Amino acid sequence: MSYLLVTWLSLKGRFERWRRDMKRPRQRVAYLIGLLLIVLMLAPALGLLGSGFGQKAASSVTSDDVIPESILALVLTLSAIWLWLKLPARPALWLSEAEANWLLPAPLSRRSVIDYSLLRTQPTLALGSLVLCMFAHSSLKGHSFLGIWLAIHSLMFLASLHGIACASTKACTRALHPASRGIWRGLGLGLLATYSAALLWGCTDAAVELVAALRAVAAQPHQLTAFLDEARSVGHGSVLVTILAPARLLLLPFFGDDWLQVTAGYLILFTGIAVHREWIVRSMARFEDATIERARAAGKRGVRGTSLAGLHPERRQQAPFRLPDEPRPVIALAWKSCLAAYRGSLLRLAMRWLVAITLVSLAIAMFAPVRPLVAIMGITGAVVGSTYAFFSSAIWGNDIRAELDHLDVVRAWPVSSLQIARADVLAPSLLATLHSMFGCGILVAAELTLRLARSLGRIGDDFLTPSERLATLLDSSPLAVTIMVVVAFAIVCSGFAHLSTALQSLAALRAPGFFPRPATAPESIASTGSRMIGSAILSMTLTIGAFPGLCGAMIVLFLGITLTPPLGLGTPLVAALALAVTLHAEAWVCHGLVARQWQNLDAASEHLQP
Amino acid sequence: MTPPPGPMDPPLDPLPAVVEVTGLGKIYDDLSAVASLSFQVAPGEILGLVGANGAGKTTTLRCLAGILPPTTGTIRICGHDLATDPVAAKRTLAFVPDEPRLFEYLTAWDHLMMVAQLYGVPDRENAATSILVDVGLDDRRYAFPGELSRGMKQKLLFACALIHHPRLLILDEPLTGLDPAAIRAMKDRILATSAAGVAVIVSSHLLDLLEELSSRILILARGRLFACGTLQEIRSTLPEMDGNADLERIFMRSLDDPVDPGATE
Repeated sequence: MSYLLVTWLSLKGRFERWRRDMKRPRQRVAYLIGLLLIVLMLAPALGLLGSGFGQKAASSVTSDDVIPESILALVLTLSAIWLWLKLPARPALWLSEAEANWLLPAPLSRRSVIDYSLLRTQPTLALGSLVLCMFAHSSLKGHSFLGIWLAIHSLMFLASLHGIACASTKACTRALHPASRGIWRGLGLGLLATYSAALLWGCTDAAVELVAALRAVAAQPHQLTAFLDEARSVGHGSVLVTILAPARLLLLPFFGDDWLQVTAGYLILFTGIAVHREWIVRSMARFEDATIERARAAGKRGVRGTSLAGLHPERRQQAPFRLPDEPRPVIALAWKSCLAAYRGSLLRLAMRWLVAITLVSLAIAMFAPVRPLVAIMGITGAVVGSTYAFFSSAIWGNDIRAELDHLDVVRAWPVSSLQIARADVLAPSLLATLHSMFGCGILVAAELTLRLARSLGRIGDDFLTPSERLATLLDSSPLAVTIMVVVAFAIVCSGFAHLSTALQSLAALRAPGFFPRPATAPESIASTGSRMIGSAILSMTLTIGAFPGLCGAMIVLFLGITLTPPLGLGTPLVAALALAVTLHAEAWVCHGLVARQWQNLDAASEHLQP
Repeated sequence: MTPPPGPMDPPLDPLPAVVEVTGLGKIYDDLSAVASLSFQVAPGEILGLVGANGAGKTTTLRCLAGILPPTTGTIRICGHDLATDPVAAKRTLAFVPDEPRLFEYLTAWDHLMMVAQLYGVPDRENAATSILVDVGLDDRRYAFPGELSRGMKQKLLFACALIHHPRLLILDEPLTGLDPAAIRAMKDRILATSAAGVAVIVSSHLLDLLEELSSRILILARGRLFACGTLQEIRSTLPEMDGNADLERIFMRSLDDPVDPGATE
């Protein structure tokens, strides 16, 4: 009864809060927009549900399908084993601070608290699995939507049980016998050993073939391509399929060939869940302290604070750059904001990424299908480049919103409002520009990969890379074009990053409801709508802000092309410069507005309540 | 060597006040949180701020620290007007809020480095090491706030406040949530800071401790000054109090009558 009462009170409290929020017009509009967004997301899924329900696969699984399915199953199996081996020291239930403080001391049975913890995650699990299902449905053709949804939901439910199970495991093994502490570890290692043995046994034939091919290559180096073909055929052969077959048991609800197999799969899954739950409820696990601690940490500091706890001691001593000896408040604040986004030397990070991208490019140029992978690289570079330029400070949460969480400390510092505004705008925009240049680096790597692949004969000699095509247009060399693109990219990205961060800082002070702080941002349909409105306002303002600069850039481009002789490579650079100068100028105006707003923040605002 | 002044010696010229508050008032929308508050604090003096919940203690301290702009009145810190020259005024003060608000992504060492850079502390690494040893956090210098207990966070805040050698230290309920040993350590630290010539303003609900710690007491009642002075001076302004009335009795009396009975200032 008490369990039902607590659940009812929780639901009632949420409804009351929702009703109170809906009294405000802004919340109503935000709620409607959030609802619209979710309905638009779910509509295709619901359509699929209607058409896919009741249809069962007449599946004819080809060997091409089996390989990725089996590998996926193996990855899942190994991940599950790894999770058991790496039990967290102090696992906790997922409860809010209020729930932890009220439920744990309440006269409720342990079973009720655990069940409540599981029940409260159900709406999130259901929504999450529905979204996952929408993606899965397109790749798992011939299966009913409802079936996939059920399977994903069950797997996610099992995963949410795992957190509680971890606590139980440690406590149970300690309570039973000291020697039994290694039971789960041993079981996990045993499973790993079984798989390893199977892999060794099954791969013997393949290994013999590979060694023979390697010897052939050693004798005749020009036979490298033949060796690679051999290796690929071994990978796609029946040996691997046979070895991975047991792992596919886990995913029978997805990959079952007929109703019997799918039903068996569900039976295994549901039995697992039921046994797991009973075992947890009956165990001697102590998770209360950790739950309270976790809820308190999450309530006060958001998720970020808790994730730093396991950071390596060496990383804790690192910083993006060294503070200067002379007192410079803006540098000190920027240093702090950079630490919020990244801890470590930026130069070392850049070198690490350079090596990684070079290796990936070499691997693609030499071994993998070049054109599709280079296309993916190009898209990734463009997305990374643009995303960070526009939304960096929101992603990292290291702009003036971070100061609002520490208002009564920051406002006591001997730093003028303008210095705070500058530091909190400059640090995220500088980092965003660097990350955008990382995106640009991927684009350059894609270009170089294409050229390397062409020189290796993996693509045709007549294929022109993007920079070569541009070079033809601009009557210049591909190298000069590449350098021009990188420089122009850096100039424009710095401008967009600067203006975007400045606008977000201003908006966070002027309209905090639409640009909430990460630590205090509520999770609800209305807040989703609020964020949508905020993003729309930001995009619109950025577009309007960029308009004069874009006009200037267009004029420069037009003049550069129509002049006789044409300006050539200089034209795009001057156009980029015109755009960036406008954006930076507007951002500097925003600095002043942010500073004024910061100066006038009063306790009457929602940032600093008396 | 000049001997210290004895009780019979003529009084020395009073040192110029570190804090001069005149007619301070703060209004939130239609709520008057603080009204017509005036007082001074001299170097080396510890002013204890007492008041019921909602009496205006935190608002007063936030105004003194430059966090909130006062609606009326002036605040001068070391001769600098907080309204017209806030940066120079804030350079001489340090504020420790009631809740230990630390940046969750900065280690203890990072906090000290940043604050030292903000205040232009020379040789900041040695200064930080020295103060970490002083407060007993040397072995936790690379810990994040999430890994520190409340007492440790208070110590870190205290270290951040003292690293630039302020002339005014403002502490908003620094003893809340600490264990007895930590309270004792904090009290000793406050006394040592005051002995070094730093003016200290401290608010707390632990009245016996405050009575023991403070040179003078300022009692706020519903945003107004109820009394200000040494305990003896306050007793003398309240005819119904006998000569042995402690701070708790005076405080309870302030709850009954919020009208100023005749403060010493």
